[in-house]
Amino acid sequence: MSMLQRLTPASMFNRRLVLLAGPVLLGLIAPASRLAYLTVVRGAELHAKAEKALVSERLLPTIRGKILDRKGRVLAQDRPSFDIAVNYRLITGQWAFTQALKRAKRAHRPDWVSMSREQRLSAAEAFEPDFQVRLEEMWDTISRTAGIGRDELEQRKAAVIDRVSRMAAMHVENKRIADEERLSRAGQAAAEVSLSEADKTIREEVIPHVLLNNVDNRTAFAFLRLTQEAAAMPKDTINPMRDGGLEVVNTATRDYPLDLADVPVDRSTFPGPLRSPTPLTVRVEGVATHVVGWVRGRVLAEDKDRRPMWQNDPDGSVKLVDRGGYDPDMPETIGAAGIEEAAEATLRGLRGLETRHFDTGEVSTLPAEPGKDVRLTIDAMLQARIQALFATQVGLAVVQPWHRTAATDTKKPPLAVGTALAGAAVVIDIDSGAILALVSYPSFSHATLADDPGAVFKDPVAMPWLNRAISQRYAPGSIVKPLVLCAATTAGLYTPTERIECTGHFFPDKPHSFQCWTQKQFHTNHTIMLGRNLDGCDGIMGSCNIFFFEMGRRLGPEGITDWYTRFGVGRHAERWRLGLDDPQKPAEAQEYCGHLPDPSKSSASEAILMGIGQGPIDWTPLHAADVYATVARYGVRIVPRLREDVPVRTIDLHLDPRAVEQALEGLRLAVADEHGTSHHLSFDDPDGGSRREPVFDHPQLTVRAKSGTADAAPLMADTDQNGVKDRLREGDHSWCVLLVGPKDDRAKYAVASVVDFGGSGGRVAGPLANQIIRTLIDEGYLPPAPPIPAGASAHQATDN
Amino acid sequence: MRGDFPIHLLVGRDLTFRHCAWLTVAASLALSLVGIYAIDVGTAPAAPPMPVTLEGLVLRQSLFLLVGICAGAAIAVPHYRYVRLLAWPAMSIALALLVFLLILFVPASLVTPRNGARAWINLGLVDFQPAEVTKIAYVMVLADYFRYRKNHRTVWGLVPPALITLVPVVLITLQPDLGTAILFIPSLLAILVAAGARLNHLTWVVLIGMVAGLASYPLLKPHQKARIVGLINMVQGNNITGADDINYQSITAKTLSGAGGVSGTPDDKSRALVQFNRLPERHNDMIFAVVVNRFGMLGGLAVLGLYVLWVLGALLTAGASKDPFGRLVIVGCAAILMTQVFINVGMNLGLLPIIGITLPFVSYGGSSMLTVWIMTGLVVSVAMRRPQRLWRPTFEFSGEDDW
Repeated sequence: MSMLQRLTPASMFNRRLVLLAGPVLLGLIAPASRLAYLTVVRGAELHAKAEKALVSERLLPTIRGKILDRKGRVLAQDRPSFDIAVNYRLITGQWAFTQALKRAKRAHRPDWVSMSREQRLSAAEAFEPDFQVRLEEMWDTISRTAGIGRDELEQRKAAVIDRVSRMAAMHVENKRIADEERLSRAGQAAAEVSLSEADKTIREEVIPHVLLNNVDNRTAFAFLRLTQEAAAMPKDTINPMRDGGLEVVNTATRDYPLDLADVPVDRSTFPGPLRSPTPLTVRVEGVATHVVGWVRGRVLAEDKDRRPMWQNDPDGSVKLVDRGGYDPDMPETIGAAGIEEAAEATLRGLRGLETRHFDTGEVSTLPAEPGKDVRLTIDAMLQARIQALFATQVGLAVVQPWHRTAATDTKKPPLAVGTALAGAAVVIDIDSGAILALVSYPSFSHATLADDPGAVFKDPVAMPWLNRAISQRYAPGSIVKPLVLCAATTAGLYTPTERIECTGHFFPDKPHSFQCWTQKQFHTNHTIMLGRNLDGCDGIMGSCNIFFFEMGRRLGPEGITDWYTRFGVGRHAERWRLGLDDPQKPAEAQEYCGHLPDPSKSSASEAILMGIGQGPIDWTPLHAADVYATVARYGVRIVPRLREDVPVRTIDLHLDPRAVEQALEGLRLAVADEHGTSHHLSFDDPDGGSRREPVFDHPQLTVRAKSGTADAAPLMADTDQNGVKDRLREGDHSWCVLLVGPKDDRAKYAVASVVDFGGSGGRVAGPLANQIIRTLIDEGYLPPAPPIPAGASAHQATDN
Repeated sequence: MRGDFPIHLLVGRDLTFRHCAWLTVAASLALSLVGIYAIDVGTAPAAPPMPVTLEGLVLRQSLFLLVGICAGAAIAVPHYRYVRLLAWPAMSIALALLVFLLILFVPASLVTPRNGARAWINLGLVDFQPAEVTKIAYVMVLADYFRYRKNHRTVWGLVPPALITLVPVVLITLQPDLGTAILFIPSLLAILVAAGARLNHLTWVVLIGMVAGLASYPLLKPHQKARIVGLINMVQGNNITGADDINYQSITAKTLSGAGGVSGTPDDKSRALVQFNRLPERHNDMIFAVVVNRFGMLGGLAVLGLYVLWVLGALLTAGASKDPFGRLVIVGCAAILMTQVFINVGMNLGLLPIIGITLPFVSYGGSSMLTVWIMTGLVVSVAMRRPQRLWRPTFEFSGEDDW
């Protein structure tokens, strides 16, 4: 008898009991194994997950850092403010039905469970009008308290409903796609999740939404009283405003204190026709808006991708990973342009975190870390003053009768007198490389941006959105001549003692091309006008094209592009990296690096043209100021900075000092010598005569300036949307770049100004640059003029 | 006249108190006490400010236990042959009550649907679930039916017990309470196995039943299908789809079970975890997760061990008995009880879909407690009666194809 047979019960019933007990014992293996797996293998993980339910985390708001100017003036800051928010269920009216359903349930309590869906809905409908009346009363109260009409309130409600509906649809679709992806990753090939499976009430559908933004304190307290009165009502009172129906949200608004600034403009030293003893007060809209930038409230997908606040765990739970991250479901203040965008990481700060432990009642708080302030090199008042000079009512950047010269190209029809012109100006502190002013005109206020964005982004001529000082491409024209002289001399291609004859045209056999401007305008040349051949100093003073064509020829395509690059122009140059560009968005870079031709493909004639700043080259006003500051430093380039906290970068170009001295002297004489191109302005008197005035009138200062009239491509845009681009502007850009410092001292500031399609550099940009010097004096950067002798007018004094 | 009443006729002549059913009683008592403590853990607030949502359940369950023990004792004292006489009447009453539940015009105050099921009769202080007592009546009816029969060893002989089973199963399914209805099938099979039905017949029946079960999937209600799909997703490692709805209960139960670790969590921590993880039905269907959270894997295994002890005591009692009714009643009760345990524990550990089955002795509920203690009482009743020496053991068939 085998062991098995001995163990087998003799009774069939007992054998059958063993047969039944077997599956019981075997069946226990599955739950026991599963128990061991969950508690031993996954025990720690599941314990941690279960512990999460004991903790509630609430994020606390932080304060965005300020943006300050170099003197500590606030350009942007968070200001406490109040919003009035209403629960979405009240906005949609769903509240009335929900309340009616509750009331119906109470009224039909014994039979409610046995009632069909239709019967329940029908019962609820009977109570609904009563709650709708209450809802209407609430909207009337809100309308009255806020001082806005019901129509406007209804529009705001509709906007919220529209936005939330779109968000909900998008959320469901995104969830559906995400679920499908997760299922696919989990190994379920071709997993499909329907919209109904992914459908879920989103947070926006149950939370309050702001209907009244940034209300004043008085209105906010009135609403606060309403909420308190509603809360104090007996518990069984039905009031839509209680239990989070109406909320006064204490929030922060990004405030730009210099969004509007009234700036006095002294017109006593303006060019004759514009001169007036009466100062003008100019309301400047959006001081440094292009630099400061602006913020937005909506979180975009790219923000969340870049810096997510939450992270999904494989178990489906969500954990906080970055208090400074972005949550699409939370109200945010996010930099959208300018320093606000580029310094987002610095300004943003970290939200606080309140952790409440349900089991112990313990509440711990990790305080919010405010964002750090960003200090700019900009002087806000200097910026405002310069911006005011461009204002239409001031007249300096407006087409004037005396702007047109005999040499003006008749092929380009002139702009009508009184046409407002756009432009830009840059001021650099030569010693530090700090940008004191970076003006682009027209600018715009943040209020305009919010209320009428079309005025900012859809004006094809004024293009207020464009930061012309660093983004607009300008042909440089004659203002490059000091750079070219320094380059040629340092390269050993020109010696300062060499004199070159100006013949009026560069190629002897082509009298009508490559002409000097004197040939075009006066049918003469510099050699005849000065009575001598020209050295570098004369070439700059008289802005002789022939001299600089020759320099361009000698440098050749490679040499001239190389020297432009050394001075910071082109994509191979050491860039500014002002901090206005978001490194995450290279395609949207504002800081235009300038354009140079590929020297291997460039011709000799292009090099000759580039000798006078024409041909295949363009740059920005900041390039111009940067180049002049570098020349003033005898070749030491300090890369311009806009933020105080960025390190100073210095590059020595090792310029020949003789060339620099010749260039500086040429620039000085361009202002001081009667043959200089920036020496005087001529006006026609009403009696038919002519009158001359100096362009620059600062006897206490040494001004070294170069004007330029740069041939510009026409401004084209399809304004009437007929598929054909219209020619909106054509003509020359008007440049004036200067170095200024105390009398007989080295230059302290480099100033570049340009007026789009302004025409003559000396006549349009020159007087503007002169007034920019005055703003530097007014702001204390340069010494003021000596006292005016009794009985003499300001301008007479400077004439002497 | 009390002295004149022949009490031995009622309780039996040869009573014995040395029997294996004490294992069953001990296991029942231990499980009941564990249940009361687990209900306390699951329902008592973790911190004073939190609302007490299931106040008073511990007290009620203690009373249910007392009533259950009394009912068990009341069943155990009279000889089970007298109890047998109640089988068909009890079944008739139980079926009548099941029909009563399905009558639509019965006022909601008397039959209050819960989670969509018309399964409870409101008796004022307590609710009564007829399906629970139907289980016992059904087991007794089957045991009585198979007494001294052997036609169930033919294929056609399997039809009458199947029809007997079909009646309560259909009525309970219509409530709908699919979970309770399912319990009757393993019970029938176990009784057939014990009663000596041919194993090859039963194997075919099981195979056909499985195919029929799979084929009936389209007939399931949407929420039942969703639970099955949700379970499949979960088993495959997808804890995201349905995490907030259809799988929420299962995932939370699994989380709390796993959080218990090997040896469990301290009392206050366990209360907090259970409370704030918001496990639905934590006092009822999902109480095993609470037990494991509090006592860990070891506690969970101990509870399973107590059920094994209960079954061991019951089967040893059945094996020692020669009476066909006594034998089959015990087997039927053990089958129902263990099926309930497997399903409930499987639900709690994420192995089976949630179908609303209580954990015997441990889950909150008067009807459930009453039923399982009556089962215990029946086991004790059989155990206390020594088999007559001359009785021929029942369900002893000979056949080459049978084991």
